[in-house]
Amino acid sequence: MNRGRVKVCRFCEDKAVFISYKEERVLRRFVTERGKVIPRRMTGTCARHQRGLVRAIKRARHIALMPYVAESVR
Amino acid sequence: MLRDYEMALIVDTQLSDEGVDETVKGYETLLGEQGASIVDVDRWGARKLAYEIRKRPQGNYTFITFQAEPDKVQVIDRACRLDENVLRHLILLAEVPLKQVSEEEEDAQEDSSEDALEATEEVEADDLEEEEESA
Repeated sequence: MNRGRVKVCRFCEDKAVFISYKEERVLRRFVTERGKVIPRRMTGTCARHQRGLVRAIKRARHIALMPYVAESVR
Repeated sequence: MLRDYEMALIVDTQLSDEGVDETVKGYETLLGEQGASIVDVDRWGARKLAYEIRKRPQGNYTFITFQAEPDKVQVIDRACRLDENVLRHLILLAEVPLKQVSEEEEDAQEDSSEDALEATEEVEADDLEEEEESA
C-alpha cells in the first residue's frame, strides 16, 4: 500500500460516528482476501475508528456477512 | 427503562417463503408480547452466507429495531436460540439512537456555535455547517 504518504483515517474524513456491521461493502476494504483485519498502520485508520471497525467486523462475521476465514482466494 | 435494541435474524431458507415470513412474524408477535415496541423491520431477504451455517449456504436476513425493557431481551434471545429455524441471531443495543438522531446532531452544532464567543467565529461555524450539508 502507498507507503511514505501520510494517510488520513477514512472514517474521520467522513465524520463517521459509528461503523455499522451491516455495511459489508465498507468493511471489506479493511480485511485481506483471507478475511483478516488489516492493521491500522496500513490503512491509516485512527485508533478510535479502528476499534469501532474491528467490533463491526466481528459482528459481521457472526451473522455471516463476512467470513472468519476465506479459503478460496477470489 | 426502555432501551433501543436491534436484532438480526437469519432464518433457514429451507423453509418455504411463507415459512420464513411466519417465523419473522412470530418474532414480531413475541416482541409485542414482551412489551416491546417495534420501530422498524428491515427485510433483506435471502442472501448467501459468508460461510455455511448448519450446512446451509444461504439464509434469509431480517433486521428488527425495537424498544424494550432490558430483562425482556433475555426471553427473546432464548427463543431465538431454541428455534431451529433461526440459523443465527444477534441482539444488540442500537448503534444509533433510534429517534431524535437529527435533533441531537443539531444540538451538538448549536453547542459548538455557543462556544464561539465572537460573532465572526459563529459565522465560521455556520459556514462549516453548510459545507457539511452540501458534502
